[in-house]
Amino acid sequence: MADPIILLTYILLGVIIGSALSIIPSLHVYNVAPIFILLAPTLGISDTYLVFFLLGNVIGYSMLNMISTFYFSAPDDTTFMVLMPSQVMLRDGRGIEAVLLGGLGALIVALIFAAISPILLIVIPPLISIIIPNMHWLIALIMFYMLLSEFPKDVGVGKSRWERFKAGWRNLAAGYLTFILAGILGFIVMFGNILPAEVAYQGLMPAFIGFFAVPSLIMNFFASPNIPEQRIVKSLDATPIDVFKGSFAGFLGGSFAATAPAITGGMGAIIVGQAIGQREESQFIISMGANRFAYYVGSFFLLFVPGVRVVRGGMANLAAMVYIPGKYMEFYVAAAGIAIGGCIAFIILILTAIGIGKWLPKIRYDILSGVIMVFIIALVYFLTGIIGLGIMIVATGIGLLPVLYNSRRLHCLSAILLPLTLSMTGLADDFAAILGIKI
Amino acid sequence: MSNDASVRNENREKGFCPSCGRYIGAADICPYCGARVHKRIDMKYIKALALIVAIVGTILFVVGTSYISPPSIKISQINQQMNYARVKLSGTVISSSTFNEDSESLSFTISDGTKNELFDIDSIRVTVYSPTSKELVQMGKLPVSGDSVEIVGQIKIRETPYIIVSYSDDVIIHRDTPQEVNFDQIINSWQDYLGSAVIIDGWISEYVDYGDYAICSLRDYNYPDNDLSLYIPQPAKTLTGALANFFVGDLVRVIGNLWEYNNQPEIVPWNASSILIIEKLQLWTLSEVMSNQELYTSQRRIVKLNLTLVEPPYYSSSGAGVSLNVSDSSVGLTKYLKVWIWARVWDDIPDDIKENITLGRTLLVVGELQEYAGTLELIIDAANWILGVY
Amino acid sequence: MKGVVHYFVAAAIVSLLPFVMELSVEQKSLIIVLGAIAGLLPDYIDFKIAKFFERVDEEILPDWPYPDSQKIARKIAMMIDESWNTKKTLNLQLHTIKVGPNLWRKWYVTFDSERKKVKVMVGPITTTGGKDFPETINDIPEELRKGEADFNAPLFYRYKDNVIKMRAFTGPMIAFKPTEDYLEVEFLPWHRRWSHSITIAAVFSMILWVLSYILTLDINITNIITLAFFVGYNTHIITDQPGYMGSNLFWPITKKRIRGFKIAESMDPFMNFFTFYLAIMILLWQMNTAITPHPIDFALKFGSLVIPSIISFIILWVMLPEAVILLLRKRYWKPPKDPFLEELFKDEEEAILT
Repeated sequence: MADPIILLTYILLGVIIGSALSIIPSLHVYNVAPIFILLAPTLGISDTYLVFFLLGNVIGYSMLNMISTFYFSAPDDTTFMVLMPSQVMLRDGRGIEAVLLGGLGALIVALIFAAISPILLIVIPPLISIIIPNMHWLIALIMFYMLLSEFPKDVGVGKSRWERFKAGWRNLAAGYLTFILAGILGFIVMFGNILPAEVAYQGLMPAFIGFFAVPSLIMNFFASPNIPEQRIVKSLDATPIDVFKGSFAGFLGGSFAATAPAITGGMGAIIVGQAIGQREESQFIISMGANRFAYYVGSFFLLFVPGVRVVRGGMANLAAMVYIPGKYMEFYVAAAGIAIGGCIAFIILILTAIGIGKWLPKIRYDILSGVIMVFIIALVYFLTGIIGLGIMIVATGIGLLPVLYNSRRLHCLSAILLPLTLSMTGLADDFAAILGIKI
Repeated sequence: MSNDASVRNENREKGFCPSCGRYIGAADICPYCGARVHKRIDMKYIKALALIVAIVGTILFVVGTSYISPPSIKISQINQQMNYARVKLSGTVISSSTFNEDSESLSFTISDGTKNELFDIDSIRVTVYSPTSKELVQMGKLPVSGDSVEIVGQIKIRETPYIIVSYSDDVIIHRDTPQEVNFDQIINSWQDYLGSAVIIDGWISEYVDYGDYAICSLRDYNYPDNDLSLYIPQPAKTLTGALANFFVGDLVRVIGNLWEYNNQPEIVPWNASSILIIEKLQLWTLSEVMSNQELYTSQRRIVKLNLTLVEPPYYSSSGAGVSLNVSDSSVGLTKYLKVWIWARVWDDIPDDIKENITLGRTLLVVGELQEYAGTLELIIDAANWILGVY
Repeated sequence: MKGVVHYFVAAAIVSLLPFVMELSVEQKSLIIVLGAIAGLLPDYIDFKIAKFFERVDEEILPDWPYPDSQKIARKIAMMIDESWNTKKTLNLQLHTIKVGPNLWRKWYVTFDSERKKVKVMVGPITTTGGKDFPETINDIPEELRKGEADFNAPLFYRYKDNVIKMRAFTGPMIAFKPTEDYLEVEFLPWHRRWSHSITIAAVFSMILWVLSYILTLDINITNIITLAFFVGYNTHIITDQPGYMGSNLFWPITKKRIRGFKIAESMDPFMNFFTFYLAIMILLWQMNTAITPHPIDFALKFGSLVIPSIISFIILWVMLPEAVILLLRKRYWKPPKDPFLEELFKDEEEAILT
C-alpha cells in the first residue's frame, strides 16, 4: 500500500506545478493533464502517484486560474453573472482584490470538503444511485433551462415593433444558433469518428479550446484594454454575510455540477445564484471562486470515494484510465490534500495576484494573446492533428457568436449536453438520421 | 454635443455614440439614433466571418462525417489515447451474453486472436446499456460463445478497456448455416468444428439448472463415455422465450455453436428455439431393461421406470449412499433391481419425498443403467430424477 | 417567483403525476422536462414575444447626458390627461439610461393620486448588480434632478410600491387605462395577461395533444404528455398568485388581472429559496422512490419504534430546513431600501420607502 505521506507529497507537487501552469491564459488543466499521463511512465511515476499528482493539479488550477480569468479574459457584457463584476473591479484598479475575493471563496470550499469528507462517504453512494437512472432527464432539465432562461439584452429602443423584436432577439437568436451548432459539432465529434481513434481520448478538447479559449484571445487581441494601476489592498470589501452567502451559493452550485454528469460549474452557479437571488458583486466573485473549486476539485474528489467508482469531470475521466482509487486511506489523504493544497494554493495566489497585478498596466494584451494563440494552435495540432485543428477553427466561429452577439457562452456546452441527452434517451440514431449521417 | 472630430473619435473609442453621445458599448449601430459606428476594427466583418465559419464549417463536418466509418482495430492496438474512440472490432465471442436485471445492461466478451501487451488482455468485454440492451433482447440479437461478431462501439478505459455499444445496428452476428454432425466427428476432430454452427442430436444425460443458465450433457448411446457438454446460456435459457421442456433422458436436437470449455468441446445453443425435443423419454418396464441388460448398461442408458420398493431403503455403512431394492409388475415382482442413490443426492431429496420412500411404495424415477460387480443398477444422479412417490 | 423556481417547481409537480416517474426511469422519457418547460413558458411568452409587440404610444428617453426631470414629468402628466380626455388606453414606455458597461443611471417616477401630481427624480449611477455610487448624483445639475407636474385626471395607482424605478436593461412600460370612474395605471400591461391564463394553458394543451397523437399514435402517452404540459403551465400561474401583480386567470372571459394574494414579493430571495428547496426535495423523494430498492431509506428507527420514511422525510428534510429558512427570513429579510427615495419624498409628510 502506498505511503500516505508520499501521496500527500505528490498532491502538493501537483498543486505547485498546476498553479504555475494555470496562470497561463486560456490553458486548461484538462489540456495539460494528458501530457502528464503520457510522461508518467517515462518518469517512473506509478499510476497511483500520478492520480494524486493530478488532484494537486486540479487544486492549483481551481485556485490560480482566477488570475488568468480575471486579469486576461476579454471584457464581455454577456458574461455579467460570471465575469463582469471582476471586470469592473479590474477597471477600477481593484483587480487584485477581486482575485483575492475569488480565492477566499475557493479556500473556504477546500476547508469544507475536508471537514465534510466523512459525511460524503455516507451521502455519495446513495446519491449516485438515485442520479444514475434519472440522469437523462436531469441533464436535459439543466440544458433546456440554460437555453430558455436567457433574457433579451436590448435597451428597449426601436422605431417599430419589429425593430424592437429584432433588437431584443439578436442575442437570443445568437444563443440558440450557438446551442444548435455546438450541439451538432459535439454530436459529430462524439459519435461521428471524425477524430482518428489514436487521439480520441482528447475528445472534445479541440472543440472546447475553440469555443472558449480562442474567442477570448481574439477579443483580447482586438479589444486591447487599457488596464489601470492595480491597488494592493490590505482588506477585502466583503462583509461576513457576503462571504457566507457567496461561499454557500458557490459550494452548492459547484457541488451540484460536480455530482451530475456533463453539468459544469457555470450552469450550477447560474441556477443556484438565481434561486437564492444573488446580486451583490463581492458575493458574486466569492461564489465564483467557490463554485469553480467545488466543481473542479469536487468532481475529481468523487473518484476517491471507495466503492462507487464515480467518474465525473474531465480530470476524473483522464485519471480513471490509469487508476481508480478505492481505499479509505486514499480518500482521506485526498481530503487532507485538498485542505492543505488549498491553503498553499491560496498563498501562491496572493503572491502571484500581487506580482502580476503590478505588471498589468504594462502588459500588451494583444501581444500576449497572440503568443498564447500560437501556443494553443500548436498544442491542438500536436495532440489531435489537422482534423483537430479544423474542429478548433469551426468551434472558434461558434464560440465567437455569443461573444459578439451578447449571448451566453454557456450555450457552447450543448456540445456535451445535447449528444449525451440524445444518447441516454435512445434518440441519437434519430438525430443522426435528421442530419443525414450514419453513426 | 460637440462635433469636434477628436471628441467624436474619443467617444467612439470609449463606447459612446459619436452622434448622440449615448453609451452604446460594443454596438455597431447606435440603437438610439441609428448612427453607424465605425471602429478601428469593424466588428461587422468579424461577426460575419464568425457566422460563416460556424455555419459552413459545421455543415462541412456533417457532410464529411457521412463518408467516415469507424476504423477497424484489433485488441492488440488499444491504448490509452483511444479512450472514447468509436471503433469496429471483429472477433469471436468467448463468453456468452448475460443480461443484468438491476442495471439493465448486457455484456459479452470477444476475442480476436490478438493480445494487448499494455493492458495484458487477449479479450475485451462489450457492454450495452438500456435502452439498447433491451432492444437487443427483444430482437433476440444476443451473441453466444462461438459466435463470430462485428461490433461498433466506443472504447472506454477504466484501468482496463471495454467497449460500449450504443445502437442495436452496431451488433452484427455472423452465423453460418449449421451443419449436421455426429458424436463420432466430435470425438475425433472437434477442433475442426470449433466456432462452427452445428446441429447435433443426443440424449440429455445431465441437467443442472443455475437459474439464468443451465449446464447439461448430451449423450450418444454409441459413445456413452464421451458425453458432450451442453451449455445453455442466458439468451437461450431466459431471454428469447420459453425453452423446450426437456428433461434427462429426452432425445433432443441442438442447433448452436461448437465451442470449448476447459479444453473440451461444448455446444452452445443460440436461443430458446435452438433446442428441439425429438422424443420424450418413454416409460420402460423392468423386463425390457433386464432383457437387454448388457447392451443398456454398456450404453449407460437412461430410462424411466415405475418401481415398487420390495425392501426398506438400505443406508450403506460407509455413508456413500442409499440403495433401494425395487421391482415392477412386468417381472411379477420376482426379479429385483437395485437403485443406487448417492449420499449427496439423497440429502437433496425433499423430506416429504424421503419420508415416503418406504417398503411397498412405488417410485416413478429416471435413472442411468449401470453394472456394478456384475449387478444391474439404476443410478439416480439428481434429486429431481425422482419424479414421484405413490 | 424567479424563473428558475418556476422551472423546478413545475418539474417537481409534474413528477408527482401518475406514471411520470415510471416513464422517466423505465422508458427514459423526458416528460418531466416538458412539464418544466411548460412552467417557464408563460414568462417566456411575455418577456420574449409579447413585450416587443405591445403598442407603444409614447416613450420617454431621458436626455443625454443630463436627463431633465421636469420635462419628463410634464410629458407624463400630459399623457395622463390625454388618456383620460380621449378615453383611450395609452402605453408609455420608459427607458433606462445606460452610462457605461455594467453602469446605469437610476431614475424614478411616482404618482400622487391625491394631489394629482407626477414626480420624477434622477438618481445616482448604479451597477447591474445594484451597487450605487451616491456621489454621482452630483453629476446632474441640481435644477434637473427633480421635477413635478400636475394632471387633472382621477388617477388610480393600486400597486404596493408607488414608485416606478428605472434601473437596468429595458425600462418598464406603463399603461393608462381609463374606466368609467378613474384612470388606472397598469404596470407592464403586456405581462400576465393572456399568457398567464388557465384558458390559454388549455388551448396550448389541446394543440399539443393533437401534435403528440400524430407523432406517437398512442393515446395513453399522448394523454400523459398533455397532462404534464397542462399541469406544468398552470404551476407557473398558480405560484404567481401569492405575489402582488396577479394574473388574468380566465382570459378572455375575465378582462383584468385577478389580484395576487400579496404574501410575498417575486424578488424575495428567502421565499424563492424556500420554494426552490421544496421543489428539489419533492424531486429527490420521487427519484428515490422510483428506484427499487430505494437507495435511501428515510425511515427512522428507535428500537422498536419506526417512523415511516415519508413522515421522517417530511419532518426532517422538508419542514425543519424550511422552518430555518423562514426564521432567517424573519430575522434578515428587509425589502431593499433605496435611500434616494427619501430625497424624492423629502417635502412630503408621508415617506414611502420600499
